[in-house]
Amino acid sequence: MLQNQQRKRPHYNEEDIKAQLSQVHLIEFDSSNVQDESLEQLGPILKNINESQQERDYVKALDAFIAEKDKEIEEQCKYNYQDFVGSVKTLLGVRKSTMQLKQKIVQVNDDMQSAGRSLVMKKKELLEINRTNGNIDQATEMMRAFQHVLEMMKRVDELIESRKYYAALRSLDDLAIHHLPPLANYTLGAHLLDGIPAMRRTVCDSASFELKDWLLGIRNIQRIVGALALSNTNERQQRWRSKKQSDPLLVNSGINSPLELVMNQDNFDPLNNNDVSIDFKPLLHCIHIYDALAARQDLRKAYQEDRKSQADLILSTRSDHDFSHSLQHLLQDVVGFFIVERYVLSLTSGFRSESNVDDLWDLICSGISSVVRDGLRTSQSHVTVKENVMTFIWTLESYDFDVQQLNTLLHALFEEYTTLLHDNYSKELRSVFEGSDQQALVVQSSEDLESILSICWVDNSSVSAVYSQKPPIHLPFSSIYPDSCRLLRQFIEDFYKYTDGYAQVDTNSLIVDGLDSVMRDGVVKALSVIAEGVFNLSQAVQLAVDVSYFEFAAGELIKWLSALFGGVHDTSRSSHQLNCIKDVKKLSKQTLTRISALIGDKLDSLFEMAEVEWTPDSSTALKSDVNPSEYLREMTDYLSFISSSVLTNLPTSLRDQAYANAVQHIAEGILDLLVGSEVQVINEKGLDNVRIDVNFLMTQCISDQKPPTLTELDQILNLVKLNHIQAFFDSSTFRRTKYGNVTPKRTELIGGVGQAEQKSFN
Amino acid sequence: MAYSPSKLLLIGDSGVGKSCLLLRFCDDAWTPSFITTIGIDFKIRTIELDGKRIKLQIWDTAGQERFRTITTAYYRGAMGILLVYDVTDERSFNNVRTWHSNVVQYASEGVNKILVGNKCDWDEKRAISQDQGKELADSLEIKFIETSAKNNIGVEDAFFSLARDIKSRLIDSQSSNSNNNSSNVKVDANQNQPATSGGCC
Repeated sequence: MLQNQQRKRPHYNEEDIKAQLSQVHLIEFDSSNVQDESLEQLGPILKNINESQQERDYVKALDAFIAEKDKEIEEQCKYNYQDFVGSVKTLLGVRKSTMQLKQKIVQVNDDMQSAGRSLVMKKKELLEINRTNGNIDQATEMMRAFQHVLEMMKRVDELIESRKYYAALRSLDDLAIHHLPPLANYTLGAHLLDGIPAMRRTVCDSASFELKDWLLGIRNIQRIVGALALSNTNERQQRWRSKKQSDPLLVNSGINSPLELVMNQDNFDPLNNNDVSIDFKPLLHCIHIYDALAARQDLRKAYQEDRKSQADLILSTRSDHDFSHSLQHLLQDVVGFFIVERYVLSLTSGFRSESNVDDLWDLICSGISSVVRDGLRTSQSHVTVKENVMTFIWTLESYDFDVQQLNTLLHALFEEYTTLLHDNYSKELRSVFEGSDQQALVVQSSEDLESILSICWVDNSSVSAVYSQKPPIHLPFSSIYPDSCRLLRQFIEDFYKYTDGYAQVDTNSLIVDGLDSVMRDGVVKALSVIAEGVFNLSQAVQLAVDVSYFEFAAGELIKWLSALFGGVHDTSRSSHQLNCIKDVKKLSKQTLTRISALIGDKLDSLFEMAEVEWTPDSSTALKSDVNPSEYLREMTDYLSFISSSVLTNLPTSLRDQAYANAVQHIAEGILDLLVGSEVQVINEKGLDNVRIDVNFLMTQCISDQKPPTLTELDQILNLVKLNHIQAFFDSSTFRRTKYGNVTPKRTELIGGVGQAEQKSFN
Repeated sequence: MAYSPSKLLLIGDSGVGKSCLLLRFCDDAWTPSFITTIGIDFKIRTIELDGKRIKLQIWDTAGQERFRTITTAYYRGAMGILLVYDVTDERSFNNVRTWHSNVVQYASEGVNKILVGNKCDWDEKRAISQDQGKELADSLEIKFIETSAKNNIGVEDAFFSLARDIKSRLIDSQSSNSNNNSSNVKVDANQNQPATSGGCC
């Protein structure tokens, strides 16, 4: 301001200068060290003074100011200095106390400082303890949590041990989801969490192990289950059979037919009864467990494999028993196996694959087929095997298994059995025939007679004579007949027994066919061979007698069969004839031929002994006028002898024919003698002798059974006697009308005889 | 000249081996099986005796009682009879006397006979000693021989011996009486002619 004033008004008045001086003064007083500043402020003032050339004024003003000031100070110092000294003295005292106080305060402060330091230390300790305490609390908390977890784990173990797998799994889930994650930061927690899957596996494994155990138990019990089921089917079959017998309406329905199923009151469960009770819980548990683990597929696969290997095991197991026994075990196993399968299928929806079971079934079926076929190659137990297989089929059919393959097997077995039966019985019959001596059977008591006649098919009239005999009783037939009848009855019985249960087969016509072929191959063929080897007349006759009985039997068998089948069969069956009757008739002819041949041999040997006088003189010929030649008499005697002895048992027609054949043979022999080359000359007497012989022979013929050669012989003798030889050669009409039986082949010989006769007359 | 074969007859109990003797003698065969002869059977064998051929017609009869009526009818024509028993069967031996009386009753007078004890090979079962047989034959004043059809012991001898006896009887009787009609069959010993050679002129 001063500056501004000086500039605008270069002249300062007194007051201004005084103000400026006071200012300088004040600055001087303020402090020594701010002198520079004051000086700095003084600078512009002085400058202004300098510029305004007022230094004299200014110094004058300044002197005046100083003088004033000195005066004031003097003034001041003239008064009150005493107080001042006192004040100074007081002040000094105050200052001293203050100093003391200050000292004390410092002291106190020091004291305070040292006391605070320990406090701070204590505080620090306290804080530390507090923190430790918190840590401990936290740790305890965690420990508790872990304890809980561990307890749960222990509980899981216990649950596994007590087989509560599902609960174990639940606990594990609980652990894994709720309890362990908060503890995962701890090594133990993490470790435990990591261990959960392993524990789940343990649960799984334990459940599987238990299932394996269970499956093993099933395997051990399945044979009993099968045996029970099979025997139940057997009972059912027997019940049904007796029902069928009492009610003809049911005849056409077999076992497992709707009728039978409806009428069957018995609901036998082979899996749960007095003997067996199978608990399927382990399986269900296991499935439940695996479901809980979402691992059902694994279990399915494992179960499937286990069952497959069990099926394989069933098929590969062979007991040391005989075949039918071991087959029975096999079938029992299989039935048990599949009943369990069927039950599991229905029990566990979707767990067991139906197609897999069907595959196993097919596998087993073909297995059984080949086992049966192999077995029957060496075993003779066809009937037992068939019955077992049939019961097996019925049993599993009722469990809805497809039995087509096994039915095919049964049919094939039927055919095999038919062949086997045929072969066996043919063989047995043959051995009966081969062991026989073709002699009439003799029994020692009427009881024996009854027992034999009871099995034989005999015409009552043919055995009536037997009853009048006293023991020993001679039967008309030989032992082969009752033996064969017994075998034939057995054959039919065996056949019938085997056909029992074959629903879709016309068993009756099969039996008829089978019987037919056994009669043909077993009886007729074998007897035919024997007939050719018989050289004893009585044996040949016996054979013919036996054959005639077989002929009767062949007729009776059909009647017997229809009686066996009962009234249920159509009557057209009874008109069915055994084809073998034709063969038996042929055999009968063969035996007759054989008999005739054997008689012929004897007659031939008598011819060999014959002495015929072709040119007797009149004196010796007298005797022959009435009596035939000795040899002829011998022959006819022999014939009548054997007719009443050896041939007596032959059926009349056969006996007559045998006799006629014998007469024919004699006639042929006489003709041979007459036209034979040995006779060179014959005279009329000799011819008359032959005529006597021929006439005699004609009287020996059975009426209406004159053998052709005898007629021819008669005509030849007439031809020569009446001297019609020329006419015979000249006129064919003459030949036909009068000498129709003379064979032209013999004409030359006749001519020879005629010439000889002529010659002898000459 | 009439020629007649020599007829022989086998008699004895059933089962003593008549048919077997016949089979052995005519066919030189043997069969172990026992086949009962029903009624009657015969076989022929030609033998040579002292240079003469003789046809033997041998009739085998059923031993069983039930054929007795048939068989006795054949006794008459027989020129020689073999009474057969089984040395192992006392019964058949005891029945020889019955058979012999049948011969006396039904056969021609002077018929030649021989007692034959068959099955002499079967020593362990023998019931009748050779001496017993001889004794019986002596008492019946006939020849005796033991045979075994099975082992072919004495069979030829039995038949030949009988045939020789017949031959000598017939030759003797023929030489003493040429019109001998005691038998309607005879061996023509003078003519050694086999039957097959036929008649003469």
